[in-house]
Amino acid sequence: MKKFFLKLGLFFVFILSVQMLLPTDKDIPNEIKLLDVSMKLKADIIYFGDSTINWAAKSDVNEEDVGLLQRLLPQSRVAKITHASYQMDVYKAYAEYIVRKGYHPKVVIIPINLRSFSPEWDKQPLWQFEKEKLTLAMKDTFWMRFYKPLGVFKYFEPRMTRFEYEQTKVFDGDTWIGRVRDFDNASYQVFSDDHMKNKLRFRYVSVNFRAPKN
Amino acid sequence: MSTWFRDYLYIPLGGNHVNLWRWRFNILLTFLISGLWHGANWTFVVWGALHGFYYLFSKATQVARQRMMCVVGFGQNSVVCYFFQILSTFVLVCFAWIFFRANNLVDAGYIISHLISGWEKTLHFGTQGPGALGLTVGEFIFALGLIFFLLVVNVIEQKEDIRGVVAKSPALIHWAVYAALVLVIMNLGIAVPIPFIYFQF
Repeated sequence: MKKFFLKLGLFFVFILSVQMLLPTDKDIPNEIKLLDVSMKLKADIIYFGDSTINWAAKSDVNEEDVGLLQRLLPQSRVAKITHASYQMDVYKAYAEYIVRKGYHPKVVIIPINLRSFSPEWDKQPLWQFEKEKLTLAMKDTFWMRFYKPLGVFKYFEPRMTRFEYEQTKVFDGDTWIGRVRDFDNASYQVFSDDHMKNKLRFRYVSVNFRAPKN
Repeated sequence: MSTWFRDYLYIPLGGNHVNLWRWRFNILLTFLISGLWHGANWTFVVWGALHGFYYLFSKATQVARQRMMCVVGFGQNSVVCYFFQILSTFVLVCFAWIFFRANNLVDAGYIISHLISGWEKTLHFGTQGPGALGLTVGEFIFALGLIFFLLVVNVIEQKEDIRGVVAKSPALIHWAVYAALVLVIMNLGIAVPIPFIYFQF
């Protein structure tokens, strides 16, 4: 028995040793790679954002935000790190990573999108960005050697389930107005004034915690 | 599902206990309806019809194909013959998947008419990073190597039980195989599941 465990121990040591030699950065999200490149190129301004940064209305004479910024500040290097549905949680993880790397950009721009604070966005399982947050937290550490195996064994899967999301309480100020399932459901595909009112309330006014009365 | 169609449609239609033309009709109708079962769309009907046609065509040409293989010097059970059977089945099934996956016949027609264009872009591998396939040259060659390895394993398994061979091999070899398998699972496993096309309709 002792011999068996010894063999097993040696086997694991061998596996871990080989794993240490394998490349790790294949599956890292592109936005994180882009940030690394931007830091390497000494970007002065790091502009974070969600999909609204990438799209401008045809009627908008200002065109795209980042392009405009770059034209206004031709001496500065502007790096754009954006992804659809990014929110404050992700920006915080990026900011902590930049601090950990000891990089000092002149400006970090974090747009405030009111809708991203709503339970519809903040609690949406598909928009939790666990992979980005965990990658940024473990980057340049020993654990990056196990980045791919951790992904294979579902370490980066969203913790929030669809059921939990639908059960989330929705508050308007300190007033409980329902649960996510009352707003995010198929019936809202049918247009009506009531549905539109509730949609706007759910997306732009509500939060997933009871606001303090003071 | 295939046994359901056999028991409740193909056999009640007469199965193969009918004349040749009626049998062909039974086969084609069974495949057509099995296609329609997947959804009320012409794409599914064409998908089913294609499979019915493949089957009838293979039956009609079976003798001729066997003779041709003998003429060119390959036996019916030769590795080359086996390889071509796998390849042709794979290509034909993938072709039929176009109809299964497309939203409508126009989309399917567009995909088919563009099947042989744009390869230079698809097979362009960036020197700095992955190309259109999402792979670097090294990764592409590695993937081809793994596919070849899979085919070799498949051919060997026709004759021998590979697990038995590995278990009987010297300790160093079978531990090396176990280590390789663990490393392959850890590093080539799927981190983001992509559902098989059949589960997406």
